[in-house]
Amino acid sequence: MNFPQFAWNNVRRNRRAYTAYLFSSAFMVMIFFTFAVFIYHPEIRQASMGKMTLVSMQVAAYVVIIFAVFFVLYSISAFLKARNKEFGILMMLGARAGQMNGLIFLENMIIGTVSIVTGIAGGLLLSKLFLLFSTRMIGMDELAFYWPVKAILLTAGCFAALFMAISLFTLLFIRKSRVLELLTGSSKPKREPKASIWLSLLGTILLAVSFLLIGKAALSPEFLMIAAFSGISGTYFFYSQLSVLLIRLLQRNRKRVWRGTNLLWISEISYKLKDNARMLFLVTIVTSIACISAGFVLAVNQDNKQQYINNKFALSYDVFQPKLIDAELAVIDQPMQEAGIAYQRYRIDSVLAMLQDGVHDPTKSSDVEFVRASQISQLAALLEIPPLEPLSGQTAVAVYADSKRLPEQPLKLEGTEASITIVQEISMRQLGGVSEAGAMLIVDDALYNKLSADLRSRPNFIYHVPAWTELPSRQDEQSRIGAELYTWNQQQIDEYFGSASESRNFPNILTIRSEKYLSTKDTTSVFSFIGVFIALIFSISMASFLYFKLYTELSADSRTYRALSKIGLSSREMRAAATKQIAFLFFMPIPISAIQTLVVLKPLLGQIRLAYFDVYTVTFTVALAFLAAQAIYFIIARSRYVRALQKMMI
Amino acid sequence: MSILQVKALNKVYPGKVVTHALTDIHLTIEPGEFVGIMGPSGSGKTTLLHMVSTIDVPSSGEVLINGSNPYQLRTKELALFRRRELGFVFQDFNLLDTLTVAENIVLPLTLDNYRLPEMEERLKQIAGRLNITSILNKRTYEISGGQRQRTAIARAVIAAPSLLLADEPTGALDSTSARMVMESLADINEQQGTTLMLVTHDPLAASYCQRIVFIKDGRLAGEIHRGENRQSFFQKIIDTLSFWGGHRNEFSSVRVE
Repeated sequence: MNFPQFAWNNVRRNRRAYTAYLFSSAFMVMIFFTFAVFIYHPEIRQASMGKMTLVSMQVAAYVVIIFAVFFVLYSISAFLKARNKEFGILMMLGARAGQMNGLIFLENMIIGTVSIVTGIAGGLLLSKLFLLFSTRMIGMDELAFYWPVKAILLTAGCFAALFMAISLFTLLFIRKSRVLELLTGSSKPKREPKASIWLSLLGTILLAVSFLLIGKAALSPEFLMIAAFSGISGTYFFYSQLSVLLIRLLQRNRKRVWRGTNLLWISEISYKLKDNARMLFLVTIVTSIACISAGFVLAVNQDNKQQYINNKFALSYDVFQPKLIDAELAVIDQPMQEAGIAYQRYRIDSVLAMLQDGVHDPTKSSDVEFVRASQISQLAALLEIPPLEPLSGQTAVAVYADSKRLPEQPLKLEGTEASITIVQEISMRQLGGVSEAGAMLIVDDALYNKLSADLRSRPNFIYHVPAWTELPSRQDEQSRIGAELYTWNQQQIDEYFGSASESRNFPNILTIRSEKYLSTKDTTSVFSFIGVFIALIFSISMASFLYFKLYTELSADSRTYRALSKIGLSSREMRAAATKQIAFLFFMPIPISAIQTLVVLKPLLGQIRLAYFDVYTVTFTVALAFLAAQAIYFIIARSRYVRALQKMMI
Repeated sequence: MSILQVKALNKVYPGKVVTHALTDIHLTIEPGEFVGIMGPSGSGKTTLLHMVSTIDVPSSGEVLINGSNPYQLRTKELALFRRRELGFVFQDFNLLDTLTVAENIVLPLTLDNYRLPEMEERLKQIAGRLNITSILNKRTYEISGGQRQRTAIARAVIAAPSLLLADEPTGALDSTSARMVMESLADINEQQGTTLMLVTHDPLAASYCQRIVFIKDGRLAGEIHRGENRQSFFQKIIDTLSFWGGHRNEFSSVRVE
């Protein structure tokens, strides 16, 4: 038997020990490969939507490869540690350092090759599913399956280099150890995990600082960087110090800990926490980022939907060039008339005015739009406006879109002498789509005419289409007509600016509700796809890593449980203790990430003025999704772990 | 009533080569007795201990502990039975590194959800008796082998079992620690009246017993009783071992599982 044969046999006959390591490596390869298949898909390269997706996907691919490096490195160090005794025996038998290195290098290359091959093979199967799923989510046409030569080469190249580098790197791990250490290595009792009070305190302070900074209303980029930095380093200290400290404090409470299997699993968990602190930290940060981005996307989506629903008008035609009104209205009406769709067109005249000495209080509105009571009353039923108070020449009914209010005293406006008192307040989300100003003031015709003498009055035509109240999909009539009108209006605008005769003025602008909704939806779906995908990868790799870690500790754990079962630990108690431990490791990052997400999302979404969403619902939706995914891995890992321990029970 | 009754016990390991590990063993241990089981390597004394400690199942015959047959219990009840009726002391201690000495000792009680004051009271008492009060908050790797074994003894007797089983308790200890451990066991036997069954190679450790049963090649080979003098009992053990055909240098060897 020559040396490569020995290495080969070592892997082949010790299959059980290598399986977990092989699986996790192959899994990484598979994910990366699937990604590459998507990126290098010929149809993606051409699609207009594809550009955006492509860039994001490339970034995601880098993230995956960076994570793969960490992942394989962690796995291999855990794996080598578990095999210390074997190396000790080899050294005792007189294996030279060079031979040992050769053995480890060869083994790694064997595992690397096998995992690259199986990963790509698995990826080929997966990629069909992935292409289907991803295009569905992004809303593109289905992509055909192709023979991804480029992706195969890229994946094989990247991972071969990675395994090579890591094989060389791991040689440093064992070189310095002595034979005795190697022989007794894994059976040597582990030191009690220590936590420094000062570092824990530092971690708490860092977390508090970042939370406080983010909670502040105005957030400059520098502050954001400080908040992110202190939040991330605080999370690290949380796992490596604070959590250990908390468990030690808990252990002092004999009343709680000296009960049932608590004594077993709580003491065990402090070791596992300390051992896996870096991993848990990494996972928490990544989960948080994924949660935040997914939450953000969800919030934008929700807001987008809400905006569609709040807006009662399918089309809104803002007129800046009155002479074109008749001709253009005919164009707008035409497709709907042809399709036989019933619609109602309303003319709303409006005057935009600024409050005098415009109060720069963000809770107050400074711009207001005046509309005629006579015109608004036509919309009363549609917008569900309550009966208006009788209006005189100085009074107005204010309609507010959000919580902002106009000042109480009579309003003074820029450019006009009129002074106006508000006699009634109505709240209406988004002002029903009639106006985009902060507040709308309904006034009687006399006052309106007076205002329009001083300020500019502008007509606006809004279309109510009863058939189009549902959210549009890409194929229905609403979006078809919407897209048609959108193209037409874009042309008009381009022509207008092209001629540049009246450069200080605007062309007429047609706002199409369905078009606005769909374009936002397209953008967010790319992001949500990428976000969900990356989050999925990380949660799966975390699970497989934890499983791998559990597996390497299995032999020590099974010895412990065997001894315990001799003194009367029942299988049920063993299961309870083991389950609690594993659950703790698997689920701990989720509530922490949820808290971080909540802390970040709440002010962030407030700042960019996403009005119609509930931050708690969003956060919990994302956290629940993670929880569900993690629960599946947990069930698998637990059942395998417990089954292995069960064999050792007497 | 006897604490332990072993009647016509046989253990056969089937396989290509059938091994008769134990043949027709009869053994009775009365309450408060301190009985040693001795025999050369491979004599079957560990197998006998496994039968008594319900870890292994006999091929035929009967084992009664406190009048009840543990082999008729279901797995879950069996674990409870071991926890409440039996105490174990092993050669390699089997203490948990993750727990302090005190936590290791009270572990069987926490599994049975004893009340905290009761646990603390028992812990104090037993730690005082075994002279380990000062190391209660230490970890297992911070204390000596003898202290570890006394911790294991404390854990074994804290639930006040009917029968304490010790499997080569001095096997991994130096002579001073071994003597202290054996004195602790003898003390527990005398003061608390705990019934003890000790399996050992070591004639010195065995000399603390009141009665020694010899096993050779899976059969009972003889039995000697201790008189007043431990020194002469020790000599008697050595003589008996030589008489039953062992070699002297066998006795000092350490059995490795």
